[in-house]
Formats: sequence, C-alpha cells, structure tokens
Amino acid sequence: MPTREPTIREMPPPPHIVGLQHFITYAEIDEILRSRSFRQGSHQESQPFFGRSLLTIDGDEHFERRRLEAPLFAKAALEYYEHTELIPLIGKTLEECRDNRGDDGIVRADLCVLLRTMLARIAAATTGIDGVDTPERTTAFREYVEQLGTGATVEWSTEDHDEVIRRILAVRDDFDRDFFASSVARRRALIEQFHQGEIERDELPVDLITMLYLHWNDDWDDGLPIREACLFLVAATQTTTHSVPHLIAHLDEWFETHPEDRARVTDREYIKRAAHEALRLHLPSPALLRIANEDVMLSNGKTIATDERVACLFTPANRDPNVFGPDAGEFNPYREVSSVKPWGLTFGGGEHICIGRTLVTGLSARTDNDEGTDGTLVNIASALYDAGIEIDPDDPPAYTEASHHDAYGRFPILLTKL
Amino acid sequence: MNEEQLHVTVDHLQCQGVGYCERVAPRVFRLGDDALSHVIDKHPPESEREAVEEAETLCPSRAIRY
Repeated sequence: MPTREPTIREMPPPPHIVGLQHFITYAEIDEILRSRSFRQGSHQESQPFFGRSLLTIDGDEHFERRRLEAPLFAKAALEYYEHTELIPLIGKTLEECRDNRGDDGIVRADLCVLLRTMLARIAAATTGIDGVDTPERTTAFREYVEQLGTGATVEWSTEDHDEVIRRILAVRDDFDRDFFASSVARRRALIEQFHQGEIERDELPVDLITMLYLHWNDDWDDGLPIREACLFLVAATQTTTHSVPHLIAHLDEWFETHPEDRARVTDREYIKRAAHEALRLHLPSPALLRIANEDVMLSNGKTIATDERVACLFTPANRDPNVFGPDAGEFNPYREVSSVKPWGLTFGGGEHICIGRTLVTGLSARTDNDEGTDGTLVNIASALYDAGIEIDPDDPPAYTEASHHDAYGRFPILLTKL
Repeated sequence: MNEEQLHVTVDHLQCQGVGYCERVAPRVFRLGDDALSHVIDKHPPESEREAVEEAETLCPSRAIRY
C-alpha cells in the first residue's frame, strides 16, 4: 500500500522571514497583534495584488474600510450565504460527482478541486462577481481564484517570486476581462439608477464591489477594487480549502485509535470541534509580520526597536502547551480550551482579525432569539461524511511542492455513499 | 424586562480591545484602562439599537451580544 505523509510535519521557516526577530509563544504574539505600537508588515512582495487593500492598511483608514465592508458579514448576510448559496452548492457539486463513477461503481474525486468548486459561488456572491453559473464558467472562475491565490501568497512560493508576480498579474488581467469588468459595469449602472431615484437602496446587491462603488473614496486609485476583490476571493476560499483536507486526514488517523468515534461523524458538534483542531494545527497563514511604530518592550522583557520588522510564527504559538495543554501538538477533538478561541491565532488578532472568519467558523447566536450559523467548514465536512468520504487507499494525498505552506496539493478521495 | 429590550454584553475572553465599538456606539461602550471594551449602558434605549448592531458586526472578534 502506498505510504501516507504525516498529518503533522515540521517545516523550515521560508526565506522571507529568515533574519527577522521571531516570536513563537501565544502570549507574546497576542500582545503584539493587539498593540497599537505596531503596524502591518506582511505582504510586502504581494503589494501588486493587495496594495492598499483591507489587509495592508492600518489605523483610521483600516477602521473606515472595515466599517464599509462589515455589513457583508452581518448575521443576516451570513445566514443568506449559508442557506442560499453554500448549502445548495455543496449538494449540487456532490451531485455532479456522480458523473465520475468508475467501472467499479465507486465515485472518485480530488478533494482540493471539489472544495474550490463548492466555495466558488459563495466567494463570487460576497465579492459581487456575476456569471459563475454554468459548470464551464464555474470551472474557469475556480481556476482564476486558484491562480490569484498563488499570487496572494507569493512570499511563500518555492518558485521564482518575480516570475510568479508577472504570471499572476497577467492572469488577473484575464480575470478582469472575463468576469470582473462586466460585474463592475452592472453594479455601477445600478448605483447610477439608485442615485437618479429610479431604484431603492435595498434593490442594490449586497456585495463588496457594490459597497466600494457606492461609497467611493476619491483617495482610492482605480485599481483598488480589483485588488480588494482579489483579497476577498482568495480569502473566502483559501481557509476552508486549506483546512478541510487536514480535518479529513486527522479524523481518518484518529478513528484508527478511536474507532468508537466513527459513528460521530453525523454529529455536527463533534465535526465542529474537530474542525477547530484542524484550523489550530494547520494555519493558512503560518506567520504574519508587524513593524514597530516606536521602541517597544513586551511584558516578557523582549525588546523591539522602532521600524523593526518582526515575525509572529503562529504554528508554534497555536501549539503552545501553556494555552492548549501538554498535548498541544496533537489533534484531539475533545480538547477543552477556555481562555482563547479554540482555533487560537489562525485568524490573526487585533484590528486585522480576518473579516471573513465567521464565514468559515460560523457565528454563534447574537441574541437569545437566533440560532447562528455553522460556517463553511462544518457544512462541507458534514456533507462529505454523509457522502461516505474515504481517503483513496491507492492514491495517498500529497502536500503541494509549490509553496512553503502546510497545504495539500492533491487529496484523492472516494465517495462511497454517492 | 421587555423581551425586545437591548441587553448588551461583551465577552472579555474574546475582546481584543480594538475599540471600534466605542467609535460607533460611544454611549454604550468604553475602552477601559485594562484595554478591554466595557459596556457602560447594558440596557440602552431603542435609539441606540442601530449603533449597537453596527458595533457587533464591526467588532473584529465578534465579542458583542445584544
């Protein structure tokens, strides 16, 4: 039988953080991310893709942009995405897998591709991209988002970085031509109709592109909308695409030593706990950089000089035994964490906490009268277990070779109940 | 208590002390010396509902309930 790669692997730091002062404990990173004495220091190379986007701005500018975009993640919006976009698309995508049934009657698929397809429509909906409707258009859109993700994480690429940037900027031009420009044009026309009093405010789409053009700021350059859109598209798909394969791999391994838990895959609370562990152990962004605005001494006495760029390494911090217990480096869906979120620093901290986190993890009830949402991870994983997901024993998953990221490049599965 | 009356709380285990809540709903939230957000009016009037709802959605750690 082919050998499987380990579910937990140690990776050397990528070149872009070598030479920087590293912080690795949960407490010191939490202190840095919350502090107003630091500004964003990540994404220096990926500026062509993310420059002046929400990810890279600080202070008042960040507050105003976040205020503009936050309604896209209000409770009502999350419920809409989950019930109207995500859940039907999960079912539709699995239904289409039936066409891939082999001569032995088994349905086979690559989980990485399946996940990107499932998430394509929700990414399009939150961003405001039209025309992701037919299987052909969905495939084209999915491939664009996948390529844009390569550019977004260029700092972690094992390829020549300048070449990656050149290639992906050309891909973005094609994406503009095939999807983005027409989506912008339709929304700008609707906004004009609204300003002329021809339609009501609530007849406008609720998505990023509409928000940007409805509240246009003359300080923005014309390229900002596509950079902000690329951030949303990548972020809306990357975390779940990254985490679900890890979740499946960990549970597969866990069931070997805890066979009594196999039946619990129908328990969404169990899946949620397992998903939190996968998020904690395998971070889509394993390190973030910050720049000190002034000389800083942390609570533990470590010092950082003005304008010094430092690396916050989330992988060791999320395995910090002082926070997550003596077995912090292992997967355990029964882990009890009381002082922090169960996924630790996976979505960052301070004002730069990922704005789309609730899309992935769901949003707990906001009032006594609502139920909250489950998020993409639990909904997708539950549907996969309902479909009888098993890791293909003859074709083991493989990590990507194109990046220093802790990510699977391919993850062949069987869907035994389809 | 009226069922519809606002009852605002902040989960201090989740609060990151970013202070966006204070900026959009200063009559309800205030950042303390402990760098955490504190509710200064747990049952604000209905006129504050929109501001509280925006504070909840805007909070980076989604630490507010109402």
